[in-house]
Amino acid sequence: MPTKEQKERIELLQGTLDLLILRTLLLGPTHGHAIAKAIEFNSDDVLQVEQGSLYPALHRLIKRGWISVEEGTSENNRRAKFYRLTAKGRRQLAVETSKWDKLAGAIARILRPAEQDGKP
Amino acid sequence: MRRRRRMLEDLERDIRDHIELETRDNIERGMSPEEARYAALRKFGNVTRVKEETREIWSVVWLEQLLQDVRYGLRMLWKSPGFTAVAVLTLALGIGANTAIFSVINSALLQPLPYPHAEQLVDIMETLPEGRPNGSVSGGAFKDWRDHSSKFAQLSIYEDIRRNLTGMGTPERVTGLQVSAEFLSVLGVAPTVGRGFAANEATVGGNNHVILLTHQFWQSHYGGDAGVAGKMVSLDQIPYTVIGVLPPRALLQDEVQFLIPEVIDAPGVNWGRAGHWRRVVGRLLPGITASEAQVELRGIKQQLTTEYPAFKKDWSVAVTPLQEIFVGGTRPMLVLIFGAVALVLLIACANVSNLLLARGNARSREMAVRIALGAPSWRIVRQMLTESILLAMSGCALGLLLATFGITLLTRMVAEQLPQILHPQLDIGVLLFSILVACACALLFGILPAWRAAKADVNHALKETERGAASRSKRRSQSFLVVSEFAFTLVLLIGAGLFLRSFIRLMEIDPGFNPRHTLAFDLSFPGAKYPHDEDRLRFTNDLTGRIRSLPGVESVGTISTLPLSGRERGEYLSRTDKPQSPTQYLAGVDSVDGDYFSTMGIKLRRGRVITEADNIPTAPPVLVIDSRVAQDLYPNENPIGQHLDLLGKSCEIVGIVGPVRQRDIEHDPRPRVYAAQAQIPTAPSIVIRTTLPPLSLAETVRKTVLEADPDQPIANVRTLEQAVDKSLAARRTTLILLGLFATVAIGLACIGIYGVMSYAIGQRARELCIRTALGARRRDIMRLVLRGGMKPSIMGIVVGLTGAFALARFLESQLFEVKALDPLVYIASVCLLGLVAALAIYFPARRAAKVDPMVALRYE
Repeated sequence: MPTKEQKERIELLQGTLDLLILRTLLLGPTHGHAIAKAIEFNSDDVLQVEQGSLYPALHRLIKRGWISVEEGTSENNRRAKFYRLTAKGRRQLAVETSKWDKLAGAIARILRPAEQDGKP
Repeated sequence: MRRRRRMLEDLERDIRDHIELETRDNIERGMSPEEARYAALRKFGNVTRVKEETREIWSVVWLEQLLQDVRYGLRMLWKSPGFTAVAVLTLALGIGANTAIFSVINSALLQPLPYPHAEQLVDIMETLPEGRPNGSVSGGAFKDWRDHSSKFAQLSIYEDIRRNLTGMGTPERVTGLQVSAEFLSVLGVAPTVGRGFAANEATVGGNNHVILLTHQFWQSHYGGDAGVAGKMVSLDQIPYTVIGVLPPRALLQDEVQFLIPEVIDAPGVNWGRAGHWRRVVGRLLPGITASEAQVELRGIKQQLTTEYPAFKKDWSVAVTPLQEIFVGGTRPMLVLIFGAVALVLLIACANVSNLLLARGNARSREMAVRIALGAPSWRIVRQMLTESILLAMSGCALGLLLATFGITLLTRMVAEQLPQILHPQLDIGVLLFSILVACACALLFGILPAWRAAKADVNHALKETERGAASRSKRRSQSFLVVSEFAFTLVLLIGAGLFLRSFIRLMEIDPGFNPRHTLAFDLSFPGAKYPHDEDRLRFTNDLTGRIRSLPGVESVGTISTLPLSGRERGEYLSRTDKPQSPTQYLAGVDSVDGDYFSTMGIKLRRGRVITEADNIPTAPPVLVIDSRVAQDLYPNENPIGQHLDLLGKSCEIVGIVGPVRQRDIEHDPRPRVYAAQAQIPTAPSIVIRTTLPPLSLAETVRKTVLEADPDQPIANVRTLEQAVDKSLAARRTTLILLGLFATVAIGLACIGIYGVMSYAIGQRARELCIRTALGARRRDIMRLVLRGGMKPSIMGIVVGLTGAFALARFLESQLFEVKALDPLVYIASVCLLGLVAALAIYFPARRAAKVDPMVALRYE
């Protein structure tokens, strides 16, 4: 049985996770767990990724050359992989963001046409 | 690939750390350690799936699936060793035979001759008015070409010579080439020891007595002594200084053992534009084609035509690539054999395809399960094709092994037809060819079974018990294969039959002489030892007398060039009474002694043969002509007593003999006249008719010759039967190979039909048992089963006949006095194949009829 808390969470759309990862890495290189935490924290826990799905997504981005990977030390003093946004990834983020804005705007207009009409 | 491994190695650690960090966070939030770990794991999700998804990102999916298919295929082949062995062996036979034949074709027809820029090498020949090459060139024509042409880098003249080698043990007749100084540089061959000819060594006034040895001669006579340069060699009692040694297999003429310089404009030698016994090889300038050079040389002949003798007014010049001259003749034979061997491979493919189909039936449940579990049909096809390719590659590997033996065998078989310089071998091109062939085979025999497996009816297959009836379409596929096997086999059989028939016709040909119970050898008369014609004649008469008195010798004859010795002398004749009609009559000319005709078994048709009285230099010149000359020059007249002009003498015709096939057995005899030895003195061949096995006489004869002259070598000891055999060697090779392939084809086709029959009967066992139980007699069962097998066989034979009709005209040119649609061959081939098929069908049918119904039904 899903809890109430789980019901209010939103499942991520296909490809959205990639966008969120790129956005998170814009602030600087960090490791996998920290990315998951950041996404949860910044979305006020509304967007809760199944943390495991982060990894295939990260590897997909590496393969596309949007992020790079380097060795670093995590909070628990272990060697860990740090992911860094590449120049190509930065450009891609801009593209994806504007795409997302358009999509969100369009969907919003379809869902609430009257409200939008009422606005000056 | 390395990057992928590195990325994935760290994944495990990252996930572990991630969960650990999350657990710590949870503990900080107040959870118990156990609870915290559980929550962290739940939040992370399915660890295995995450790993798998990540791995998939980095994997090359098709490659992994391919490896999977290969592993699976190998396992499947391993699990049915009987099937695998039969399939691989069948393919190995087919691919091996194809590879071996291709290697010969590759070395002879596809690869350039093994000389630098071999495409620039051409043979230049004077041609007769009807366009046929004359076979040899006059020294004058060579000088015209050399002096006036602008298309050649270099031209060289050469001629075959034979010399007596003495002073090195038993006297020996050795074969060599007399070449102008440019010969080696035209070919692009450099001596491995010493040097080639210097320009002055081939000109009047230079030191002409120098000699180059071939590698083979160097090995056999000097044991490969590196210090051979400067040693002396005595040829015809004349000393020559060795100046160098050629690389192994450097020349296209295998029998050549040495080179000596041809001195252009040497005194006492005919360098005019008449008198043809030389050959010319040239190297074209880069970018010039043989036909361009031919146009130029023809123009030069036209300009100088007044300088040529009158009879050469309409002669011309032909420039032909050297390769064409030396190996072009083998092309029809090689292409034919290649076609035959390709058919064998097709039959092998059909057989393997059949095996796969039968096996596919046993695996239909496996396939049905896979399809039911969601395997797309292309995936099944790929799986099946992978197995096919594995089979084909194993067949290819084993076939290459077979091919290495095949090539050795073939090289020996075609040795007569191909210069040794072209030795067929498994080089990279041949290897690629056989791999390509194997891949094509895999597609060919694999596609039908694969397609059948993929479109299996899942419902039916899962329900079907192994003893159920095979589907109609499956039986149709198998029948199709049997039909094609029979069709191909019949085409091969008919081809082999036509060649067999040609060969039998050739064996029946009367060469004009009786080759049985004869022994022949060649004599030679070096000028230093036999300065005068009288000396030679005396020696010959002395020797024939000695031989005649040997036990077992019936008669002894001498002739300038024996039939089938590969040489021939031609001269122009004219009637003394009508010198202008016809102006040019070319006939073979030989000089003989009186016993030649009876020794050879050549029939005297009219008049008399040459007598001892004719065979003295002072006797009036007489001629024996053959019936062709009589017919051509004296139609409706009696030639006896008439006179013919030959070599500036008017000779009386005293007799007419039967025609003789001089060049080879295949071609009709050309006109020929015989003069007395005394009139045209040469180094003769001696032929002996004996009551003993001819070769047993050889040693005695050799001793007798050495008694007469210890420096006289006895060369080319042979029986005329051997000479006839040699003349038919190319045909025999073709016939043996075709026969071999046809036999293999019949064997494969039988295995095919037998397998299909056994399988079909196994499939119908229950039906047949029920029929028996319901009262069908054994005969009825037999008839039922036989009908099932005969139908595709008969269809195959019909298709094969159609194919053979269509293909036969390509064979026409290579047959000898046999029509390409020879009914006897067609009927015999059909009967043979039908009989063999009937046997292959009969045995499984009889077994089926004998089965006790109770036993068979109990298996259910």
